[in-house]
Amino acid sequence: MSTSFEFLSTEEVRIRTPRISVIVFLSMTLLFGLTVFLTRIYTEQLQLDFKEASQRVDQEAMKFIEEARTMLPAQMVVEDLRVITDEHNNSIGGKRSAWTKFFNALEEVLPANSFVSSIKNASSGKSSFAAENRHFSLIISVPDMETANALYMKISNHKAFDSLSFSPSAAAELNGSISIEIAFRFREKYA
Amino acid sequence: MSLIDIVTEKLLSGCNPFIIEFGSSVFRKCHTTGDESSFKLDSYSCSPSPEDTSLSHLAGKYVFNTEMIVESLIQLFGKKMFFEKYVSLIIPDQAFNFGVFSVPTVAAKTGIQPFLEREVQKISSLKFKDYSVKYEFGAKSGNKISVFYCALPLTTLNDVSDACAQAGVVPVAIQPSFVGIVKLLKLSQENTAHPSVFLHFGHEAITAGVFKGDGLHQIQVINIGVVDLLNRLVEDFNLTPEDAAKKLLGGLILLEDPSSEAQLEIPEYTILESVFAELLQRIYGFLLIYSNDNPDDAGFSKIILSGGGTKIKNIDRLIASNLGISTVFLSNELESSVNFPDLPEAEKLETLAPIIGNAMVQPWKTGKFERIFSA
Repeated sequence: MSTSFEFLSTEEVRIRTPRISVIVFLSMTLLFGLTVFLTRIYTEQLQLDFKEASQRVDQEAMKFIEEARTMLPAQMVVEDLRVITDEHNNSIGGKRSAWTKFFNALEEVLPANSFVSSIKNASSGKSSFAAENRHFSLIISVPDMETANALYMKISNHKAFDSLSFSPSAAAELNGSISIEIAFRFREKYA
Repeated sequence: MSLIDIVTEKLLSGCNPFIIEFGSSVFRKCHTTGDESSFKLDSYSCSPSPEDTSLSHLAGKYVFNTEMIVESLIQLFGKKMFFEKYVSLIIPDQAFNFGVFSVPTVAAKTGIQPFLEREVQKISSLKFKDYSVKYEFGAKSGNKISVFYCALPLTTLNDVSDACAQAGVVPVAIQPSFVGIVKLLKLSQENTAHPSVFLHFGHEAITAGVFKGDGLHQIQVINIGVVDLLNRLVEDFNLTPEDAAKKLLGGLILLEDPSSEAQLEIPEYTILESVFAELLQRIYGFLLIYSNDNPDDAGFSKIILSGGGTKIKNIDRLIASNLGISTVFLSNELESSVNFPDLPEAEKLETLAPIIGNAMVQPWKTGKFERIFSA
């Protein structure tokens, strides 16, 4: 509490900022400003460097593309090569090859859990074929009779397989599977 | 009040600043906690005031060496301060010009500036505008009301403010010494029919006052102090000031029975007798004038002593014997009402009365107001 004999006027009573606080504040402000300024300069420099690096990368990429282009063969050469390759491929097989057609048709009728254990020339009974041979004798292993019946149905319904002969093999039920001997004439125009 | 004033007010009410007493012989600084019933001195330090320092308002006696006072202030805190310290200042009573006068009650309502100007300039050499004057209305008597004024020369106020600014000290209050003393006296005063007298025996002057339980009735500064006794010892015995102080405040100059013949055989007493005599006459004169002005308050209950002069052994006996009024020390008077533990060595309640009183008044808190003079 105060008294009537207070000789310090109210206006003079104030909380003052210590000098050290002012100095610290000014120093911090100066430091902050300096930091902002230097950061700005550094950022601008980084941006310039990035720009230069980007341009350099673009130029390198263009250069690489140009070099790559010069390394590519001429289109005419590639086309000629493709034609020759096709002719060669066709001569050794491909979609038009009889053997390709034969296996494609066989794949259509074979059940998933079966496999071909032997292919023979039905005419000679041997495993050698001439280009015009179309009579085949296969031994196919199936897991059970149902699968065998399904195989028979499919193969008999397929037009590519003609003169079908279907008989279970004498060595049947090997390891629980059934071997079936199938002989037929393959008609490639229906494959 | 502006926002800044509100914030300042709030911060000041919560703060507990240091208290510095500007003494003629010693500067004191302390930090206190507690209230009127239990009080604690957290920190205390003192430093000698510069030689020849005098804050007396009398013409030709004022000596204020700002540089040296700044050094003494810095010494109080032990080191040069980086952070400003907020302090409540106590200025000794001899720096002030006291007075009392009566004005018609009507004039009190309209303004007493002209009366103040006349009264202040009546007894001082400076003009009214060279003072900072504070006053308080006293008791009404018929259609008149008494006014107690306290005038501080602006040069003193400015010098003190400059010294504080250079020392890194920020005043939050500036009060005279007697405010603290009166606060302490109010704690002790029983309801008696007769007023009591207090004498604060300072280095340069004695503050004499008459008070009752309701407050101060009269105050006057008697320009005789311990320094006058010391100077007499220094001159006549060719002593250094330190030796003179040891002799006066540590030796036996006054006997328990001042009227005994053995008193005259003490050489120091024979030298100082005239000073003591003048002192007692001035005190007696003050009491006589008061009694004449206030015939209803005939008779005084007791005299309560405080100040550095109470270190003179048997000073209370001398005063009681010569004035015929029971004389006690302030510590004896207050021991039953307030607990003052852990006072520093070489100090006692009497010497710390202004500073402890100021700590209790807490003048930096302007939320409350305390009257000093009786209404």
